[in-house]
Amino acid sequence: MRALPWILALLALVVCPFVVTSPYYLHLLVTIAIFSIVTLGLDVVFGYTGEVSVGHASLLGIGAYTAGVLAFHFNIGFWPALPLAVIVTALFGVVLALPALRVTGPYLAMVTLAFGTIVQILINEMVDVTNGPLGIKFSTPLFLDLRPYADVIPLFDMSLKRMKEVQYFYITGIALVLTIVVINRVLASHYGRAFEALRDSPIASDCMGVSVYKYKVIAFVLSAGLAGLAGALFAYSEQYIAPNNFSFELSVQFLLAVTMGGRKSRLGPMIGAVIIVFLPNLLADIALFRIAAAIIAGVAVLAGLAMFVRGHEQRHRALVPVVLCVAFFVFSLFLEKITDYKLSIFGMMILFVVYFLPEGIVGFLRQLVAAALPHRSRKVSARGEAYDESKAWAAVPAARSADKPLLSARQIVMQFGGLKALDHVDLTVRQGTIHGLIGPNGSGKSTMMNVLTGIYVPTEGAIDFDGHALSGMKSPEIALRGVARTFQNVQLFGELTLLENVMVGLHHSYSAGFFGAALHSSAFTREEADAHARALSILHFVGLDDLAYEEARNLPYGKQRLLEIGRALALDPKLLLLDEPAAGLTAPDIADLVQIIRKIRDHGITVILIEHHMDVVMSICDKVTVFDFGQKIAEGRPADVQANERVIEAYLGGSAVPAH
Amino acid sequence: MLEIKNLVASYGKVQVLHDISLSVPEGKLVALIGSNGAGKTTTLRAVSGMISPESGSITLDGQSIGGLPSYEITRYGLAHSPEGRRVFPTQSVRDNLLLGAYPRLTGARDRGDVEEDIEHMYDLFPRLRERKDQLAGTLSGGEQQMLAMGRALMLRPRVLLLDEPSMGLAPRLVQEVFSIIARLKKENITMLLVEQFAAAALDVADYGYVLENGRISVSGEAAMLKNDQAVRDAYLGGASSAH
Repeated sequence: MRALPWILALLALVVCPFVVTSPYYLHLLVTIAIFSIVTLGLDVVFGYTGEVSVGHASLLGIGAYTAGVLAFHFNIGFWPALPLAVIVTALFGVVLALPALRVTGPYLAMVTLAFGTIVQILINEMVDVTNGPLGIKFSTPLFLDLRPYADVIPLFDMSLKRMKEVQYFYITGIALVLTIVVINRVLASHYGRAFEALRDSPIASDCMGVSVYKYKVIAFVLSAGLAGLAGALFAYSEQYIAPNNFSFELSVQFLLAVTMGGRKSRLGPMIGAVIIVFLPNLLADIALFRIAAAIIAGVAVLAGLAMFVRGHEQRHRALVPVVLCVAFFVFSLFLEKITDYKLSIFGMMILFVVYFLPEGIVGFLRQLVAAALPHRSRKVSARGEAYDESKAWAAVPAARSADKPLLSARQIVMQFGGLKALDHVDLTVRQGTIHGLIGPNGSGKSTMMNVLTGIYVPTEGAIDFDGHALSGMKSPEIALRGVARTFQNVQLFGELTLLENVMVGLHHSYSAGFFGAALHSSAFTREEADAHARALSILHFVGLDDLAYEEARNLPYGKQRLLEIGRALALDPKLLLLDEPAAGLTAPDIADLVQIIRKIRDHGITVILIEHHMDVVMSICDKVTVFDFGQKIAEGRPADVQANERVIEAYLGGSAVPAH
Repeated sequence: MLEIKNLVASYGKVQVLHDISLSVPEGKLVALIGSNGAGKTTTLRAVSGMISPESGSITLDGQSIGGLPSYEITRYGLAHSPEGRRVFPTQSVRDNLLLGAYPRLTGARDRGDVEEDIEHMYDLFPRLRERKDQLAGTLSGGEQQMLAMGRALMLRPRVLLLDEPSMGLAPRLVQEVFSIIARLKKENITMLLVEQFAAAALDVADYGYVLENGRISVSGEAAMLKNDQAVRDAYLGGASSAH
């Protein structure tokens, strides 16, 4: 049943040329398909990784001019032009993304903005290569000459022109379908999870071994490659390209298409493409535009009335958009009097979408469906699905030898301006132990965690882990060497499900690359199934399997902390750093947590535990180190530390919590 | 003072609170305890307008505040010291305190003497006086908690909501937070407290409510709840203290 909409859509695509006989409208449909490829690719960057590109029209231009230069100078035709356009544009994508995505912030937007301007100027000026403002002409290729069979296929007009048009329609249709398939597969794979993870929490993503920088670049290059494909198709569809085809305005329209249609969906960017292609045509025909406005106003009034009659709770909030729709229709009656009415209407539509459809048209439709079918049950629990307890752990448990130090940090100094957060601290953690870090708030415990996981680069000092120096390594490398962590202020990937959160932790277990994921290679399919089974087992271990398919942001606080531990275990760590895992937990939950931490240690994973709940620290730690003002003030067995005068004065306080 | 009747609230499609009723009498301290995900924080968020309740009524001193936006609710004299502190990190300690008094400066509440109140906060939390010009983001966790409480008190609230004031604090600071709460109680400030250290919370409270899966399961005088066997087993277990 789930395939039905897809089959219907494919059927509609096949039938289209037989219904749409006007060459003008068929050309519009081809343009929509081409722009859809661009917007779908843009959505990967904009919707999934959360970066903004205002240079996609220029990337489209690079693709088109690659095809153009090949045809103009080398007489190379359509088929070689397609892959070459993809490759050339993807290379431009690499060049843009490498410097711009090194840091987070608005840099990609600024770089792509500059890129757009430069590209347009260069195409104009490099007359020898691009033929400058004169542009390049193409002739649409004929892929299959069916003229001899004109009697056998009486269904359509067998003129050469019509045949070319119809065949080109099918070619772009196939390109669009393939684009959707590839994007769907990539987004459903570990790549897609990496894109969403780095948007929701870059810091946790890095600490799970998923390099934020690398995957942002991959997303942008994929997006650029698709824009290049669209560019080559565009060139042969228009049969003429000139520099002003690829203006800044078009880039903005692509962004609007994704926003209006609805981000993070396949349908949304395509609806957006329909709007940006059809709207200028619709606006050119004022009578038609009035009819459309009247229909929209009518539907809005009816929907508003229905809400009032049914006494819907939020009926008053619907009043403004309904009035606006009616006002829009009235406005459409006076269009002739406004000189630049096309731009005004475009602007108004943007404002309308931003104010009333922040999730885009698809997001709005989803809400309607959800409201209409409130009882449609969504699968949340994984109870009953097969899991294998043994799979929760790495294949080879590390040997427990408490004599060997797993981690040794020597003379660590961490200076922030004038403040020494860590002042010549030594820390040695022995293999197979639970090592407690305690101390007053602000004494440097979390700073130490951040130094150990590469989030901060220490001002001085050296760190050895498992026989290797960690100094100078970035967070993802350290994570892949076997250091996993949780965060004091929980850092989950909110819009991913619990299962997917753990599967991001399993990212390291994939050997299949991008093309494996796009082509569903047998290695990829096997790895994906393994990761799924393993994630389920880990969720079972931390007691969250009955919420496996719930979004992480909907979890209560205490369970979020457990999920973080599960995600960290997925990394197959040798060392697990837990930063205040019991904060905000009530007594029974803390008892469960203690059991979980013990089991983790029993599986050969060394644990460093920062915690303020002294009963937890004292009952499970083998050794405790106490920090105060960035220095180590005590270290030893829990009981000794608890009796230490300095520790009592700085941290524990005279008596315990108010008497009870 | 604060009356909640038949409150129902949801996050998205998930209903979190089912028919909650509780009352906080003037000058009293009421503790709300329960396990994680029971709906304690959600109750506070619904009262202070950070989420809008689906049904039920919330009244403060007889005036209905249910469904109003947060910034209006503060004008009725309800202050919320949120879970995770949420101080304004790039503003100084003094400015954070001043912002707490903002609804008073706009004429919505008794203006009073703001400077005098800031002095009072410095007396209550001497660490804040030492750090008055420091950016709030550079304070330690304990100091930020003091600041969050001080900022809420700057409203001269009729009712103060305290969400997990001891979370993530060193044992010594946990004691300090509880002694401050006891001091505020002596100053006759009406409070609704959500706390992970259930035993300690019931020690200092007048009344207690136990929240279980979004419903009030038990309520009564704090001393009585502390001796209730079922409550003891479920919430006051060995791990609830910070020894």
